[in-house]
Amino acid sequence: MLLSRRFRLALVSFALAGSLGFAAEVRWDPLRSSSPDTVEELRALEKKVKAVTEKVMPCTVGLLVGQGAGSGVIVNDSGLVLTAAHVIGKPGETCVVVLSDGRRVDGVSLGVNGKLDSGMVQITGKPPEGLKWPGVAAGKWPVAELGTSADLKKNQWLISLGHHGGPRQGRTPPLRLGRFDYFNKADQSLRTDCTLVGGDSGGPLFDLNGKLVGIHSKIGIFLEYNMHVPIDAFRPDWDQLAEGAVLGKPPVELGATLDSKKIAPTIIEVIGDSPAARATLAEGDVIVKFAGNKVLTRTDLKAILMECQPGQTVTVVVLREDETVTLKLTFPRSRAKSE
Amino acid sequence: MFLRPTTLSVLSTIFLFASAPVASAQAVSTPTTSSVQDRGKKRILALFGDAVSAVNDSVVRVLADGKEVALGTVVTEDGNVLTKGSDLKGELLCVLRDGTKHKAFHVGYHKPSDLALIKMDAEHLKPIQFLGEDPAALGNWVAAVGTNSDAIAVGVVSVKTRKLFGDQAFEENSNRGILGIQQTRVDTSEGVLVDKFGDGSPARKAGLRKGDVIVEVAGKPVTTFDSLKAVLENYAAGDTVSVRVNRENKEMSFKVTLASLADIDQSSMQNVLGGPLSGRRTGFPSVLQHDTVLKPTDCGGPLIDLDGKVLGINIARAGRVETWAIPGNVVRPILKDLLDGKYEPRRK
Repeated sequence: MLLSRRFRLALVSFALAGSLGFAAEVRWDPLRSSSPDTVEELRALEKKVKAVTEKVMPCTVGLLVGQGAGSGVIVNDSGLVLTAAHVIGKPGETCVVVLSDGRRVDGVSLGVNGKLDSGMVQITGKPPEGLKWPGVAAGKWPVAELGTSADLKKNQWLISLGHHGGPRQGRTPPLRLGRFDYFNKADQSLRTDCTLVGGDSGGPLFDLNGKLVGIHSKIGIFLEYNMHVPIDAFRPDWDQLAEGAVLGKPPVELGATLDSKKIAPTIIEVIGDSPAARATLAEGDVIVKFAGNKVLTRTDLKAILMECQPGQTVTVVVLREDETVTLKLTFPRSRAKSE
Repeated sequence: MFLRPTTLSVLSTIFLFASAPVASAQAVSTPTTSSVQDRGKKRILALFGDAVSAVNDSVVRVLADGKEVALGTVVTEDGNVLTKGSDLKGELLCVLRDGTKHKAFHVGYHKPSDLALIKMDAEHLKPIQFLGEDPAALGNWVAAVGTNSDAIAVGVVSVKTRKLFGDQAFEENSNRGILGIQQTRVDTSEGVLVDKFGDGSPARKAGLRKGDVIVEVAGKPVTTFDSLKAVLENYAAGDTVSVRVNRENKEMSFKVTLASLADIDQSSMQNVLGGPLSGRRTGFPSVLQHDTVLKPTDCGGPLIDLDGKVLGINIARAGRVETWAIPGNVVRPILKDLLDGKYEPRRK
């Protein structure tokens, strides 16, 4: 008698819990690295993605530097922004910081690490009125929490934000969902299938705990080739970047200026008495091969220069008025001070 | 001392800074398109099965002169189909999910949205229902539906429904061939004065000179920059057109092989890495942006959520990272007008 009443009670409470949805709710583990197995899990992942996106949207910014546009992410409440080195170029550049609602404040670039493609910007303006995050009245900025990129697991779900094509009126930084693939030791980059394109550079990559794990940097030809600077790579340089240091310069210099409007490394000026001048490189030359490596883009050439050493002689193949010309270029033993 | 040729030469990379749209001289590489479906989302296709099966009977493949040009979305029981209008040319044929084929004709075209209504000779079809409100929230799972039991692609809503501004607000064929001359303020009554060439200009390569006045392109007279652009709307990069110019009161003719914007503009080039884009990809009244990867010929079909609700009609692969749909609440009044015969078919 007693037993059966207890049993009945248990049944009632189970039914109650079920109808209120306690027992039925499926949660998504933010660090899970497999695909959802059921529609309920897919919905749970969706819910997680939406919550994280809402949380990290306000700290995602666009950056207008000179004629170009990139992205960034605010990482402390006084307005420090992480971005990519190639977005800002060098310290001390004034820039415009575009908030996710389109409003604009001033900023200035701090340090860069050209090898890693990491950089920082300081917002110099005050948060505009009418914004809603905590502490905004006291002039504080919304902040992305930093994660640890070394902890990423293959196929872990990630979200990417950034102003592709540059900030656009009426458009919040577009969300892309993807997964972590691997850490490329050779160039210290993370690869994901969160698709990126021009203007995304410097934008944030978050895990599903809403923690910042990377900064967008470059793409390859396939949709799955999207490369990000790992957040861990910012940490050793942090103080120096914040003080405006220029790090990660190539150990050698070419002594030629490349046309920044062209993807292919195209020389627009050769500096007198430089390795480029001695190798008889000329204005208009397009570098197609350097030190045995095929070169398609300026980014490729930059990566190769990082690996060259003072004193080394390399073969350079250039396209000169539809003809292929092969030249020898020697980097001096000590770093030239000619620039 | 050590170079790492393997990583460096295999993985050619491009920084993602969006520079101002300044013309540049050369096409540096022939981008290979990726046929690999997004690895991370592939298994999710299966979970969309029920949602897709609620809709895919209402999707048709649209062929124009025997070529696949778009998908179509059935909107009435008696064979009215909404589709992407800008690529419809010639004889139309609709292929249903069960393989049956029906001839179709062009009923009307709403140019701003690029939505065309075509009518096929079929009955007892299952029309699609568009939602009256705009339900698509940022981060929602979405699927682009074709005629198969699996969705064509899945992704998430990247940006809530928005109006377009700036250069994206104008209707044009972004894949049209270009001559590589820049518009100047100088007006002539006879034709288009060539005052400035873009970098790598095909017109300059063909022998045109500063001071020439273009009077005819591909046999059609041109008087203004806009009329010149209108003629080129019908030609693609790689096409060769004849260009007649007036040079110091002498008429001369040149053959110009047109270039594409992607050949000379860095941001255009980056956007086609990963697959071709729709020709008409600007000027829509409003768009819902998602991150699914579609072929241009997969536009015109429905975009659904996990419940199988129809959020809108996919209208353009707009960039490497973006596909756009016209939201259902915007489609509804346009569809009504199209069914009421308020719009003429597209002019050839």
